Amino acid sequence: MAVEHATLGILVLTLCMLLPVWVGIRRTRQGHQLFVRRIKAVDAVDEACGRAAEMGRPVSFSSGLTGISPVLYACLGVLFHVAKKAATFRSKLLVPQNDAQVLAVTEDVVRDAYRESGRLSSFDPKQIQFLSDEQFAFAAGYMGLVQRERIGSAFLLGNFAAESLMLAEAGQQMGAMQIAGTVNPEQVPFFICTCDYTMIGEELFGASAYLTREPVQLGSLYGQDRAKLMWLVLILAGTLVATWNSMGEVLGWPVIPNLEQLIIWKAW
Amino acid sequence: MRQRLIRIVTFIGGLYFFLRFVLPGDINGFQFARYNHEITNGFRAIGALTFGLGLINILLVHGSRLLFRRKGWFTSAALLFGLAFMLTVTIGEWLASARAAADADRLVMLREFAARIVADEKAGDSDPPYATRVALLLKNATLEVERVDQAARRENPAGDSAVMRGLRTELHAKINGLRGGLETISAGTAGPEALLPLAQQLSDVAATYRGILIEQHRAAVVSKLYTLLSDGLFMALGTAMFSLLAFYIASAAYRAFRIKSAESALMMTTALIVMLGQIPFGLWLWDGFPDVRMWLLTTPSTAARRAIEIGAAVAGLIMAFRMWFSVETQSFSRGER
Amino acid sequence: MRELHRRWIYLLVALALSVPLILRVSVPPARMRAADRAYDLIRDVEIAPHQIVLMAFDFGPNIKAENGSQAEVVLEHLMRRRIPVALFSLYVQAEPFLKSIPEKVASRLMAENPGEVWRYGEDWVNLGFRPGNFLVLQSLARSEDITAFFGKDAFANRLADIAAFRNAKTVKDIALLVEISGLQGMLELYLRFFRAEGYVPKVVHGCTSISIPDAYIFLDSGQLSGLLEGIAGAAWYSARLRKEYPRQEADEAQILNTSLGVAHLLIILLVIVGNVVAVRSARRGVAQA
Repeated sequence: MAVEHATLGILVLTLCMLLPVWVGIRRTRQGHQLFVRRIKAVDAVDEACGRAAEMGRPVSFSSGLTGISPVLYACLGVLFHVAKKAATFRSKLLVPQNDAQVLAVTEDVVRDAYRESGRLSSFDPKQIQFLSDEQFAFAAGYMGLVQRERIGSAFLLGNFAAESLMLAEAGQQMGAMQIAGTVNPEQVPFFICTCDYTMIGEELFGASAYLTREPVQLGSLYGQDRAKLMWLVLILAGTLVATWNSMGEVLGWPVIPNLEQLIIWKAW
Repeated sequence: MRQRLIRIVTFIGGLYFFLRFVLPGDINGFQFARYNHEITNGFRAIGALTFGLGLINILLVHGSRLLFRRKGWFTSAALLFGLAFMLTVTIGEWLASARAAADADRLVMLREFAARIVADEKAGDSDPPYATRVALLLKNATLEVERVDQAARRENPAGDSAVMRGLRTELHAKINGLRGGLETISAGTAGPEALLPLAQQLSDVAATYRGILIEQHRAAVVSKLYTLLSDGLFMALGTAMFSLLAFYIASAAYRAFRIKSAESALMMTTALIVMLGQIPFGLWLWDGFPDVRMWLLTTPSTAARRAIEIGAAVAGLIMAFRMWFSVETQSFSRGER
Repeated sequence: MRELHRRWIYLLVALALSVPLILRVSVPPARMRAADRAYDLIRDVEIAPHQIVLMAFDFGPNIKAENGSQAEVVLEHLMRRRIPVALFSLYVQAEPFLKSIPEKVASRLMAENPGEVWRYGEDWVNLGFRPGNFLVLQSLARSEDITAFFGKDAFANRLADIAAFRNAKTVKDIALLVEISGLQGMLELYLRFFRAEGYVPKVVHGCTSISIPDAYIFLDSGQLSGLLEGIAGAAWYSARLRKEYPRQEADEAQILNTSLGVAHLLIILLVIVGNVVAVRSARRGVAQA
């Protein structure tokens, strides 16, 4: 079944996913405390920044191959927090970049973090370095940077491809404390082998909320989980309906319309 | 003010794509997505302008290091030299190849003209008159054929490669055929249908001439230099970097794969079965490894992957809406500048 | 037993990969059911005179070892069956392969079959690199005349003049799409956008080994009709081709697969050794305490 365009069913499902987000944001703005389970990797962010400060070595933050996308904004939330810590501890922060568009956004975020920490004078735009938009040229540049600067802590958050192991291995060989997070499941094993902490999939999206405790982000996290519950229920219901229908073909039970009809309901 | 403007522009941009997905393709004859291609290209062009940002950043970082002789200035000098050299060679190669490609375009235009004459004649469109157009076509085609013939001649054919010799021979034969076709049309005895084979002959000559131009371009110094730098250096370096993964995977596996619990033992066993099911040597141990591997990939692995993908997709969708309504930027850009 | 320094591991890996390649050792590959499905589909597909098969080469020199081998074996199969193929790419680094791979396959086939000719324009056409990513696929799917949409081939020849392509009108005339790529997200683009109202072409995918679990999602859901799993899939496909069309030349895919297999065995051995060393170190530490 191909759906080229939105249907009323898709709009309804989208609204059902957004409604809990809106409710969550409202509740957190009204002061309700929302429980967020502990994510070890996120707990370790402050530890990593502190470790680099104690050792007198720089912190590096890389968003890998992430372009302007929702994943980037999830990473920027963590970057804001890390940049604030680096500014507070007067650690050197290096933010090597792969994408020129992201470079512009990242520079703004880091500058804002330094401003909020009251250390705007310490901010140097050259901290955010464009290496290359070519995958392995970026990897080579990052590896060289990490080894020349002898970084103490490294954050690898975002979209990564084959260069993930190279980036992580470079930091590992320097003895840096590394925290990684990616939405690319195939890169997760490489990060688990080489990094101290790894965030998998949507934990990356939750990291920013966890660190900043912003009402918007916490509320979104609440809404995301409710939306996933909704999908879980739909998947279970669909599985039961499909099982009923396949048994019904043999046993002569009445056929229940399957949930595909819900998606393509009222196509226009 | 700046932040407000950014939010408004972001909202309008997102609104277009949202409406494009939501609205039907045709609303009483009005197509909302009629200019989608142009609009999307416009957005991409704006994004492409940020290419300059990367260049500026490189010049800023490495230029200042070089100017003030800071640590690593020699490496920065090498980078800047490489950048300038590659830019120069790439621009030179691009200009030369564009010139080469354009040289054969006149023949293609004549071919289009001939086809258009036939089409108009069939449609009964006689303005300008058929004879005038045919005369114009013949005049320009004759001039162009002579120009191409002269341009494709070589004073010292012994210096040609086998490919080039073949192309020149082919071109010579096709030009002779085209001249014959032009003479037939000039005689005035043939009807509009005779223009179609002429159009095909023009197309054939254009294709062969373009082949010669491409070969000539390839033999030029700038093209050879570009090929050396891009294929010989850039691609080779990228491939060499990629090949490092083999070594890193082995050392990471040796260092990190430890069986410390029941879960890690299960994971290791599964990994072993999948690996043995994929390599030829696994069959030496047991014939069933490929089938077990297939089951593992089709059932538990796919289920887990789907769960991760669904979770990330839901989170991504909600984040996208937050970006659209600029709710996200409030988190790390507090207040107006 | 002491911990092995990584330089020795690197040396062992280099030997494990290079020795089989230099000696050109070839071992019969493991059975790949997903590649079987791809092979059976291409073996049995019936193409009408106005139809064509579209092959997308979306890989660069980095993953040429896997994707290039896959492209060669599938293209060879299509060429042997005299099914016209249009090659294109959404990835600029694939451009040299769009020319070199079909020429290599065609010259090999002609050397094997004297008297038979495989010609550019009749058996295959190179549409070149098309910038625009998903826009190209979206526009292609909605186009009412794909010959006009593509316009010219990679050598600026009009597609309307090329025998292999001139009769294809819409995306429905593309009987089969073979998408070969190791790039992240590329397969999803094709599955999402390469379709028309009421028409979904059959898709065969060639992926790198790391993307296999991802691709299985689509194979399981039926969105893929066949899958070549890395070099192992290419080697098995090649083995089946050799069974049906015996040839004398060494099978590059199987040689590469054998070399990779040796490296896999080395990694298994290293993991076992690593665990043994770790256990012995832990016991020694307990004993000393």
